[in-house]
Amino acid sequence: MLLHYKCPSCGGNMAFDVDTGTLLCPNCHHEENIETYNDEYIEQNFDGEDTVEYRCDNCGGTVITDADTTATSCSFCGSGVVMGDRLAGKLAPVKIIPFTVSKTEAQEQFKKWCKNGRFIPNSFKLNSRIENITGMYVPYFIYDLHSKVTLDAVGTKVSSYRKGDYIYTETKFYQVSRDFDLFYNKVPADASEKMQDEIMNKVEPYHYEDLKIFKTPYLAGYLAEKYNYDAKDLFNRIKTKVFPFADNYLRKSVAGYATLTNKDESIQIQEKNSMYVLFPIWIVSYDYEDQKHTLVMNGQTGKIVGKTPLSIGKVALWLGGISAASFTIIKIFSGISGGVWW
Amino acid sequence: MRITKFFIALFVVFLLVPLFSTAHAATDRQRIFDDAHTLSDKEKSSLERFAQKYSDKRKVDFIIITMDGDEDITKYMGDLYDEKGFGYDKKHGDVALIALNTHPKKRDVQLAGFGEVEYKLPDERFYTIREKITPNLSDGNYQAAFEDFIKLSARYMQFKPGVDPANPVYNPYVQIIIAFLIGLITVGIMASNRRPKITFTAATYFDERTSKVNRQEDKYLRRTISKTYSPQKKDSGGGGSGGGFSGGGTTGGGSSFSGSRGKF
Repeated sequence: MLLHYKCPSCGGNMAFDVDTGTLLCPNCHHEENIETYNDEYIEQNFDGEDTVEYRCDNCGGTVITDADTTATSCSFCGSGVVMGDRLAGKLAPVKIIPFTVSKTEAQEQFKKWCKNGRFIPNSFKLNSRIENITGMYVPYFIYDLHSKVTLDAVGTKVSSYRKGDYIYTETKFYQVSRDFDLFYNKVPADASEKMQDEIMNKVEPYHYEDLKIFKTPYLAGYLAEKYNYDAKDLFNRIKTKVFPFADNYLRKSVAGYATLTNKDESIQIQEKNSMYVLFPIWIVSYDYEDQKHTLVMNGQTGKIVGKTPLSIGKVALWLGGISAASFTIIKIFSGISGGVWW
Repeated sequence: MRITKFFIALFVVFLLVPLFSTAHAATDRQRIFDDAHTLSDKEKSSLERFAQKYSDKRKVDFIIITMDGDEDITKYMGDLYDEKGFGYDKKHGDVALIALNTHPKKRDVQLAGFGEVEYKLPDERFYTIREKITPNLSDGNYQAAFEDFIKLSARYMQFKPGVDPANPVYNPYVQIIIAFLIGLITVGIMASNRRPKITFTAATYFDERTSKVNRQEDKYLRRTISKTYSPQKKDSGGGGSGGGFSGGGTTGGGSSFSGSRGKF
């Protein structure tokens, strides 16, 4: 089932517009509020279940997709299409954070970021790649978590003082007990197999005030994927992410003690709630000297994550330059204070 | 980029400076009085050239005296100074001097500075120099010790008064290493700033409204006290002589000098 978003005034194919947060018709510039956009303008096109080939209703071309793709553009006519059947039932996202960084803004930011890279080789030019950046909605599960933290232990505080020729060491013993209910809300874990967890962790945080009820028109004109891992699969990852939070909270509460013995400690993390959501990223992939690199930008906050190639020559030049400058300064100071220049 | 090249050029200039600063010599005169025969003829002539080079550079005579006998080295050295009237451009002028008594029962070393040198190399600087050359003297490496004495004295006399010339801060090698470390650390920070970081913390997701502390109790149980004997060190009171660097004096002829004396 392929979805097209038709313009009520001219019949053109509409796409999501970042600046207005609406569906915008590229032909007649008609705007439609996504929350009130009438479903009757969504053109549906049935191709049967579990298919990877869709027929574009706009031009008749064949849209071939990856099995995980939920939104893409027709490679023939460019109109944004959404695979409705892959966003239905348990695959239906509950909420979405729409893009707030537009394609041109993202391109500017990427260019600026590369220009500021002092160690990037001169031969490396990202500009041609930046033309082809992809806006993509990544599937996430966000969890509301409850962690029960308890501790019973004997704690000691040690102090020492001197009286005459003796040093007295005083050890005070305390019965220490702690019982906390800690709640962590909307902790995200990316549910796509393709995205590296390490990169996606660094793309965080997303701000949840922009979290909207999911509607398929948000995806028009972007790429989107469905989840490969469900909330149950990801729970362990979420647990390892949140455990240090709770553990730290506990450590801080007993920071005054020199030792803790006879410990009875437990940190239990439980899922209160989880939700399937889509978060936006801009992504650039490029090859440089046979190495694949990926740059990712948070499509809401503009934070850039990724590695650029390193020029050994430039690193050496900076090292030499800073060392020489430091040496000159040291020389000047030692010369002035000691009266000797060499 | 241009700035970087400028600094590299500056760096190279600093490295080359010492190569060009060697001036050339004038008159010959006796600077080595090796009565104890610590040097071979070859060593002696090479050391003479060495002493002359530095004498011309600093306008200070570098004198080396050795003897083997019962006499007190300080007196011997003073008498020789009075008699010969050492000095670079005038009699009883500016002199840095090392004197040894190699007699097995004595093995004394006296360093001394006359004229201007008395102020440029006060007792504590001579003390530092003596500390540095004593190992070579003890091992019988006299030539090396004498050369070091000349080099160190020539260097130390250039420093402003009150400064410790042996402070590593003034050592060019230490300076280079420090500068390089600064470069390394700065570039390291620059490179690591480039690497993306995790920017969420516990606070990002922590819900303060619903989280609660059910119990946070610290009940005092008991205490133990242990004592260890540790006698207080009595202050030796009224600090000893203001720095044990006295080593100077006055020759029989009435010339005062700074210096440092010790065994080797």
